[in-house]
Amino acid sequence: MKDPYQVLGVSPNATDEEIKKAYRELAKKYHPDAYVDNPLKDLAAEKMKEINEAYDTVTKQRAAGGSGAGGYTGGGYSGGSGQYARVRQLINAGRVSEAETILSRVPMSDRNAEWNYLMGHVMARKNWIGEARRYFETACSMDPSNGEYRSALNNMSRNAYSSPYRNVNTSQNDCDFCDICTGMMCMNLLCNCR
Amino acid sequence: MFGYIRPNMGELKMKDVELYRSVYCGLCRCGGKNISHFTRWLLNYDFVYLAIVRMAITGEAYSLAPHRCGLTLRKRPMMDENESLRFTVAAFGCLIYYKALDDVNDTRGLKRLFRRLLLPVSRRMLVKAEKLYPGIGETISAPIARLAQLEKECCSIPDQAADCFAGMMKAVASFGLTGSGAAVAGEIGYHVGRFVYLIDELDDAADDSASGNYNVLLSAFGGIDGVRKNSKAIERTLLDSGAYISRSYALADGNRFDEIIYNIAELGTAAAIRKVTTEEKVK
Repeated sequence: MKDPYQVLGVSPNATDEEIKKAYRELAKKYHPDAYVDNPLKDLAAEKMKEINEAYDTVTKQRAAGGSGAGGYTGGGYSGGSGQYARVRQLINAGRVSEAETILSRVPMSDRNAEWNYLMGHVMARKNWIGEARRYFETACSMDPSNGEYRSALNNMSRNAYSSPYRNVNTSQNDCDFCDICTGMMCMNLLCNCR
Repeated sequence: MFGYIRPNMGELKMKDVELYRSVYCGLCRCGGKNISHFTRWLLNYDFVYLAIVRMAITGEAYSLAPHRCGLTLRKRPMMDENESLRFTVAAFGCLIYYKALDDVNDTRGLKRLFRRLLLPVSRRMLVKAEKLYPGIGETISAPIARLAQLEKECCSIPDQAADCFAGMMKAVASFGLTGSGAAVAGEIGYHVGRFVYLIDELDDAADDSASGNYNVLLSAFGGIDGVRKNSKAIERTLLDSGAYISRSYALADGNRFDEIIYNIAELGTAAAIRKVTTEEKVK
């Protein structure tokens, strides 16, 4: 087994808070929802498992016999009604072309939000992500209150990494040491004015 | 210097800029030595990315040394030849040949004759590449042939047309690799190929509309006005490919070239889209 601290990307001297923060960041990055229809889904699940195990090991070690924290375990699609429940099962089992065949047989007039949502997953599994987005968008517009459809759409453009340079805040609300110095110099000048 | 998959240099550290340039120069040098001096003139940034991704995934050792550049005649740090660089130029050489062959089939008259005359040069590249990596030619020829067929049938689903080129890049990126490394490299290759194919179609849309050439985006959106009207949706799907590249790479072991790889996937692709969409012809 790999060094749990190495897996979490923290030093063994890190505080509990730092470890929790690192775990949360990694869990967000490798969250199974981000890889739902991705061909690398299994790899992402393995990575998540490794992170969960590392976190459990570290927390157990530190609590000296305390209970483990437990992590996220991803699931597939569940629920759905009638023929769509079968489509969901097929997608979960990776039998995408069978799912696509069933969906394509549904008459145009019966193609509701769920149909578009499931078709979006079929397309995403084929890596046709442009088509997938189109179906997810249609599903969301037909049923705007459905969180499952919205989540599928949002996951499409989720990036894995944030460069330290990309979120540079250049707004006027920033206040750093230079700003404080500049402010004090200005105040000093004003105070000396008669 | 061609290609769309390039970094946003302003956001990279100097050491990463130097490393990126050294890979470019290393590929140029390696291509001249192993495949053909023509690869030096045609080398594109998309394949520089491919080389960096393969090096990151395989964890292959690399070294830099100063060499004289044939173009500027100045000495600059270049990456020494290694397996990833050699493979990348071999794949690039093959692609040049099949692209040249496709161009010969697509053109008529004097243009066709001229392109046919250049064919033996690119054919030599294929032979050399096949000698280095047996089977690499077939990896590229089959998807290119499928794409040519779809173009003949005037395919109007961008994802379907892009799937051929993307599939080819997937096979190239994962060629010779095994296990999770092959899966990650393949996915990155797929989305690099998808991005390159679709952005190239977007870039050429106005010219293709004027000349009457096939373009999948013109077919999908019913002409250049439709492409302009749907430019936000096209941009969105291109950005999605960038996000998929980044998410795929997040699953790779090791983090040697993280800054360069994520920079290109997330900032470089966005910059390339901006460049193409703000040009007068697509605006």
